[in-house]
Amino acid sequence: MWKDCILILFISIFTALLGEALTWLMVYRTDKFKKLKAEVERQCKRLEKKKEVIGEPTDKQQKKKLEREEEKLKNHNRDLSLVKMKSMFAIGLAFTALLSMFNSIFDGRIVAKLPFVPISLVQGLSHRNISGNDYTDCSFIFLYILCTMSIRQNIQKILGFAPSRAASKQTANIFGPVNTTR
Amino acid sequence: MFTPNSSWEDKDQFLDVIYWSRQVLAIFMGMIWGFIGITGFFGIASFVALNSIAVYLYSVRFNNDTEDIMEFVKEGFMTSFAGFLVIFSFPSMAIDKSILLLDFQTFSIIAMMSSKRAKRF
Repeated sequence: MWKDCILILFISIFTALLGEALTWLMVYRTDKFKKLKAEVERQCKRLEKKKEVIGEPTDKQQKKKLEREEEKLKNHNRDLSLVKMKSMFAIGLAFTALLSMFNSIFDGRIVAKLPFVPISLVQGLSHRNISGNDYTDCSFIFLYILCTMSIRQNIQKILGFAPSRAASKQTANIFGPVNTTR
Repeated sequence: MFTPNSSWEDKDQFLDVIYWSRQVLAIFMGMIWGFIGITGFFGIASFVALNSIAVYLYSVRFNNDTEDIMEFVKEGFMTSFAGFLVIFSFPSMAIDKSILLLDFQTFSIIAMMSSKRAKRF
């Protein structure tokens, strides 16, 4: 069982590295992306500084100015995601094929024994194609997702491809909505 | 990094310190939890609580900026949680445990034999 675990760990490291390499080839190294990224980061920092200096805007003119800046930043962010989208779509397709291949290899196999019973919402993933009612039996897909969740972001951070905090703050995240002056 | 109440000029630098120390802490906690044999919801809940408390205490002690404390506590949480679950679920921990127990048994047998030999002389 632990051999499968190690194998899945290596598969997720390999796919994360492959994904980053492909994204670098198709997106990160292009001049358009570099230019847009620098622009977004510059604007984010400028906007943050302005917000810090002004605080809660009371003047209508100031409020309008901030809103205009935010609109500009949103447009740049949209352009940036458009640049990314095409290649991400291609990479996504390739990875879906790769994942279905691994899925068929590990189909119905218990790859790990979980030390906890997952909540019913997750059991569909953690117990996929596994017979029996022992919900601590773990399927390939669940372990692969967990490995990818922890490894991919770390690899992105090490390689310096992770989006900057200032930029990701402007987009919505799971903990809260976007910070706007409106 | 370990100067109490220091002011960090670059907030990103402090967030990076938190991020990476959290990853390391999650791996260690996963190993310890797996080795001790903590299971179930208690294992996960205790990890979430202890990990967050550790980051909170570190932020309070080593950064005088207390306004963004929640941002510090949230930093890298999901990644560290996933890492913890992977290490926590690794059955290799069980193998390590058996090797350690085996080592302890061999060590005690050797110690008994040598003490008997010492008594004979």
